[in-house]
Amino acid sequence: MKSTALASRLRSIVGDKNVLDGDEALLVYECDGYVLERGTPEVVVLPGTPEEAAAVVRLLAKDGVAFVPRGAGTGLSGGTLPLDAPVMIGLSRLRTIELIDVRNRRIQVQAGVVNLSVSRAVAAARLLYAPDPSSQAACTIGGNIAENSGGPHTLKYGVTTNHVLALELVLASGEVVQLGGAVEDLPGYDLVGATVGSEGTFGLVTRAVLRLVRAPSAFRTLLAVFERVDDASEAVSAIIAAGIVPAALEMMDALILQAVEQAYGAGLPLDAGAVLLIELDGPAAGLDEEAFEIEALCKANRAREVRRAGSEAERALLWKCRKRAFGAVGRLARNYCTQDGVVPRTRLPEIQRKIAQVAERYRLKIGNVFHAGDGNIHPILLFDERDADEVRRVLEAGREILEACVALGGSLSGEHGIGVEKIQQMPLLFSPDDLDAMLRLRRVFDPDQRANPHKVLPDSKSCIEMRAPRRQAAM
Amino acid sequence: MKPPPDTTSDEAGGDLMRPANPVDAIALIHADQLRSAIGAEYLRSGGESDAVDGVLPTWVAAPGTGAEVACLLATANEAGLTVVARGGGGDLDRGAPPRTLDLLLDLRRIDAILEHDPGDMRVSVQAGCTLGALSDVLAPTGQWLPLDPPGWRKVTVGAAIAADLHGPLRASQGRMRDLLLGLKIAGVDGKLVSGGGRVVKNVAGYDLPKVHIGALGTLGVITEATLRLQPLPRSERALILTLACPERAAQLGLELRDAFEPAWLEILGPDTGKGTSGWTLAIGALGHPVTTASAIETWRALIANQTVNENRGSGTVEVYPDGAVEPHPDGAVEPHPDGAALRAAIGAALLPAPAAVLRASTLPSEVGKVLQACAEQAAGKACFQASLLSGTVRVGLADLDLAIKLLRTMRPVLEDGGGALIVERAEPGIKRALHPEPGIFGENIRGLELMRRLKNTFDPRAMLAPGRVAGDPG
Repeated sequence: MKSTALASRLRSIVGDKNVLDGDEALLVYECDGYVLERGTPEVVVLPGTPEEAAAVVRLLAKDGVAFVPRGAGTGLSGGTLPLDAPVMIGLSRLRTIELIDVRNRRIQVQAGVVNLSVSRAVAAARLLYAPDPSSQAACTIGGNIAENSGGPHTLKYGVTTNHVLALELVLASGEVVQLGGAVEDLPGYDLVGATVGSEGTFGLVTRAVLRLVRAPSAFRTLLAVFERVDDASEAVSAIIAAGIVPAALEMMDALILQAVEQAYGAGLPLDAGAVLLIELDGPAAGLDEEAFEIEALCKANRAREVRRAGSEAERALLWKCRKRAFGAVGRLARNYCTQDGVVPRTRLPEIQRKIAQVAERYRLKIGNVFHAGDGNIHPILLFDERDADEVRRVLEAGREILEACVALGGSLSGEHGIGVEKIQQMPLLFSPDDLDAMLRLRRVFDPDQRANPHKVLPDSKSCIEMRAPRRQAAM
Repeated sequence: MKPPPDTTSDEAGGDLMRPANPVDAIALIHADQLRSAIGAEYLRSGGESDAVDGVLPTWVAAPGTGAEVACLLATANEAGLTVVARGGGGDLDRGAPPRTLDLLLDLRRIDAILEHDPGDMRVSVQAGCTLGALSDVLAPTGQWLPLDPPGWRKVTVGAAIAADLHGPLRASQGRMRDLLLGLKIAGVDGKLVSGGGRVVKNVAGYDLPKVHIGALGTLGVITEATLRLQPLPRSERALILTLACPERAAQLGLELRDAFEPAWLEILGPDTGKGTSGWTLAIGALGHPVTTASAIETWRALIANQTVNENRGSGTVEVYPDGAVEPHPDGAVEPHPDGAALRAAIGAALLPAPAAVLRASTLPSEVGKVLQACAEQAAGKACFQASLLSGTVRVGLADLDLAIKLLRTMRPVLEDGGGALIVERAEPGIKRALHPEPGIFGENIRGLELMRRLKNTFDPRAMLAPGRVAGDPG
């Protein structure tokens, strides 16, 4: 078989143990955090250096073989599902932090470096890598760049694209290009900006220079408890209207509260309709004043209680509840599927009502934990994969929620990407001409479309048959 | 390819090219086609005031809708005409001179504010809307677009995107790539394409808008944009001091940054201040009054310690808006009523634009050295403005020989350090003397082949501002 010969040539580049082609070894790679569709590549290759990664791509280019890049596999839209791509290139071994420049607040890392370890590496210098997706303890910088990942603190700090200065990109042709630089404003088009968020379809990112920000010296973390989701939504609007930009402004509804309280015992109110987790950060001066204002605004919008984290330990516990909410939900159901729609912030109450209606109509349990400040919703649809009819209802309900987001002037994805999950809905958001312009942009980088084929943009092959879900993904 | 056009001189000192496409029978046919696209009253012949880098357009069209822009592009494409788009016109002297220019698109009629719901913290506007008009609508709602390029009130949104304009606020608020959420773009095929979205967070599809930022309309003509907004800061306070040398100013600037994160931090050279001999460092804070007061206090304490340690001599301190704190010997900078006004004045230090502005890009840690080296070579014949935190150094000068000297000596140094030295803007005579050698952009263009493919993909006949941007083969 062709792939066997290919595997042995790949082994000559990366070593025997870094090429996987046995059925069992490949099982780990059959899906990412999006578990509704699965499929294994023929070969997984794990290069140990950016140079090995480039050599792998050059080898594939010679034979015209398509490939799928993969970081930690925490993606939530099926971006690493191999479709017509026999080879998966896993970048998790590219874990070297190559350069830290404290004075200029830059860090150069390889693509497989884990998000959280970037911030840890510069913590002593009181710096921070700001984008903090909930999976930050596992997800890689390469994956973050592919998905243009966000996180709770992006309300104030922006998403991945705002923090990437330079990329080393291995084009599908095998050519290695350096885009951008540690110095800003280099002449020419912003190819770094185009590549971030391209979901691995422009090539393989192997290195990046990231911008660091000052780590806040103080925090005020508030938990506002509401009887109703609508009241919490109104409070969000009031805070924004008051001219306060918190570092984070997150909402959790009753179902999520019950799940995280069972899991982590943080003393969250089990009878509340919704809570807002609000964080201010920065220099200490002025934080208390804004915290008092927020407290007043919440109470004016019928918050029954506003708690303040009294210590770093309390703050950490609240954030654990928020960032691990997805995991906690695992206790409520055998499986779950997370959506990632966006609405204009002022339409949050409408979309929440819509989600409640959808849950009722499709007879599903749907929890909501999301970035309220950004209007980025994350309904979590609970199901049991053994119930084929329930799986079907989950897919339909998810689609309906996303369509409602678009109808309200929003978007299909705030931070999880299109992948395969939302590819069929792209025409809701973009005209054929818009999609064509995107396709042409992609072909600038990858004329033969061999880097992560059939992703992001709908084509005749991206509509695949759903594979039977077999197990719950590791989150 | 057209033959090199004849040149003539005007009294402003710039050379004007004659219309590349003289009004002949073919041009008249074109005019009919263009007129039918937008209506006769919005098409006229180009005059000297329409010149772009000294190149006169044959026609000037003022479309009234995005669809008309697209229609004009399709017509121009069919007729083989080259096109440049303009907004307010104050920044048309950026980039390399267009190789040819048949049709200038004046987008100022397309200036509507399309959608602004304050609660959503974003606004959709047409390209010809000025930042001033936008601000007038946003301010009463307590919001602003935190973008302050020099002379920003007259800058159009389209120009701010196409030329990637920015000012001191960039240090904390980011630049256009951080503010732009979505675009509508007219392509050479006559189609209007949307990219990005209209919500503050969105990763659906490729980030098409990014490649249009700073592209000077070489990939398409921007007709609409959606931008992220911020609440107006509750207070803005600033501190200004004068130092003897730029390296000291830059070093102190980074120390001030590390002591308390500023919203902006600029360094001005001796010539741009009002009769000062020293280097001016201005630093500002935005936010809650308690926060900005704390910033000023922290910075002043740090400066007080520094100046004691260094036997003073170089440091004079003034704090705005609450008036002078310490006397300063030579009136380093005129007092301003508030921090925002001081920021505006400092941001506009190189306005009216000198005959040429070179822009060095480097790391913040190298800004002092770059300023020092340039100042030594300029020997008093240039003015300087640096945005320390983004590593941007601007050198304003009037002397062609000095421009050539700086490009020849400083460009290799900057490029070796991973940076660049470009001719950011210049009068036509100077720009054409610098183009193609020693060149507008230099050699440090990352991904040049991809850029060429990008240009060729979206403008295969090179009709859009041919040759204006690095990476555009023209």
